[in-house]
Amino acid sequence: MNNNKKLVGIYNDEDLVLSAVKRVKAKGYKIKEVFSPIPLMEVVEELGYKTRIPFMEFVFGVSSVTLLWAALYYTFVMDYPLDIGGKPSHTLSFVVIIFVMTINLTSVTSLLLFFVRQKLAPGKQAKIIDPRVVDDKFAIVIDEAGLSSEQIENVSALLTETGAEEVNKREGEFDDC
Amino acid sequence: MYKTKVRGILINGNKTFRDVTNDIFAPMENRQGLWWYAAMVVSSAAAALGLWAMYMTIGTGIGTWGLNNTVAWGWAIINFVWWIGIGHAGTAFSIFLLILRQKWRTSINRAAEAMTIFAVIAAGIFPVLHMGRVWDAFFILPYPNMRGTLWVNYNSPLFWDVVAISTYLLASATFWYIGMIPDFAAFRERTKSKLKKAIYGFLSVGWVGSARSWLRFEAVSLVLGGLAAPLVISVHSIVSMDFATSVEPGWHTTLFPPYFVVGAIFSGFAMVLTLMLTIRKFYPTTRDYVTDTHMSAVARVLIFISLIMGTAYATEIFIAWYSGSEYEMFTFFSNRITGDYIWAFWGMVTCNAIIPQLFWFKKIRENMTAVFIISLLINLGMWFERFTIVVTSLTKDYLPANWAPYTPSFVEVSLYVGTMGIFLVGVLLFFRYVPMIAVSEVKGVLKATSDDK
Repeated sequence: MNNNKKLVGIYNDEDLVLSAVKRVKAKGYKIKEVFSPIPLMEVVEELGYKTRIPFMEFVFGVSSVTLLWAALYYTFVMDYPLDIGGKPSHTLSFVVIIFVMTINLTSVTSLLLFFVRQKLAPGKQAKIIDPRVVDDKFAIVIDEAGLSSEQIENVSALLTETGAEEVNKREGEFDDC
Repeated sequence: MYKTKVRGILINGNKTFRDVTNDIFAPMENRQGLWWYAAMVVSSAAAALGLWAMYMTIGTGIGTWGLNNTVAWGWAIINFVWWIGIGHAGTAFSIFLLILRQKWRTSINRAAEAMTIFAVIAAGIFPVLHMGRVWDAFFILPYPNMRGTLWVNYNSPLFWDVVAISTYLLASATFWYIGMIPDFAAFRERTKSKLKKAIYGFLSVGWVGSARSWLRFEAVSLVLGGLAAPLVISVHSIVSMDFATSVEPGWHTTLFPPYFVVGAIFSGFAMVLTLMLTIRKFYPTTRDYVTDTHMSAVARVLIFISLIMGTAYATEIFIAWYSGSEYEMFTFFSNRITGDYIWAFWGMVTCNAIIPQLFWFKKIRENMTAVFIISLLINLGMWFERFTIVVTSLTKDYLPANWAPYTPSFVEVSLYVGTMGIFLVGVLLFFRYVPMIAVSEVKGVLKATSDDK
């Protein structure tokens, strides 16, 4: 990208952000991303973001159950069946182990999935758009690419109108926007 | 994620987001009081004693313990179960209350989860040492081996224990860590120290707080919470099956799983009270977050659990009589209610079923000294319970010729003191290096629940 200039509207109240997002969208401008110190589920809905993480976790769960049952069956029924008072090798004990180990495997894979999808990793250097967004400010980021200078001024005015404390111009590569 | 308004004011003092950040990060930035260093010295000394006891146990053998042929399980299993019980608080708090959408959890969950992790680590030490040959501990894992690939016995509750405890530690630690990522990021952007910036920057995994990342964060937290919730039930049920699947009188009962689970949550909540009151005492700003309302809510939960405990004790005794088994009768009536270990039984009943009923009185719930003392007594009571269960059943079982008394040796006692030391060292480090209250979660409920807004 040759043009990676961005407009950053800084807000200090979660309700203002929601109404601002709605108004900016209504005017037909595209919001690049919203940053906040707390989860704002209404804003996420407004932005139209969806996640398949719960579905993927379900897939992990089902695969874990299958894998575990196969491993238990192989080791305890096929490979080396122990004769415990003549009782069957394929037992209800499997349920206990599969139950707990499914939770184990799904927890680990969910964490990895989250890191991979969000491109996070221990030690990754964060390129944060504004350091205050993890403390007490909210930011609406709008990409200047594809906007005429007149439109940029209009957006800037719109952000101020919707309650932004300040509207900054930032240039460069930032995480998630 | 919270939509309904359930309770009144949860956070006092009309805080802004900035105030919350400043208040909670203050202990990580300022010097700790003298008490912290004093407590650290005492806990480290206790931990050192524990390490010596571990050295003795591993170097010389289980013979250094007070066990004998009849009482083959003693101090180690008592304290293992006790610590695992305490370790149930974190999950019970953060996860059940998360699923039930209880906002008051946000001020307490971080500390409760921290406690869980240290308690589970302390618990894990006992069964590993009890193996005797610690260096062969990996034998309990199913792995292809040179013994004809003889796999472990999946029907054994002891193997389920291995699976359950390690999963519990892993799942709680994952849940704890995920919850801390936004807070570490906040600290990364805030601290002036280069070293701290590097460390917390590493831990914050590059979090920047975008809406998309929050969506995934919430999705993963909720699913991890949902996954760990059944663990609260399963872990202690499995621990109870270590006992219930045997044929010892006093152990062989179907009541055990629910009885153990409730007991675990009971001791966990009591330990949460102990810990939160300590935090409130030494870090006065936290009183705006962990208010008297919070403490009162936990105390009211404890009344209810205490009633269940009382019912469980009564049921056990009733069934011992109703079953018509003379061995059960003997264990309960001649070796618990009366007999050599009468102090443990009545200590258990007093501390767990009777004293917590004092929480019915508002005056007592609001007197934090009283709450603190009762929370300690509950933990003592839960220890008595495990002692009663393990020792009374084992010392006098079916064959009078086998009867043998049990007294813990100095090494065993040191081991217990040592695990307390390890737990406390962990908790003290937590006070100093980790935000004690979940900053982003408190901010999330701030607007809906603080003073006039």
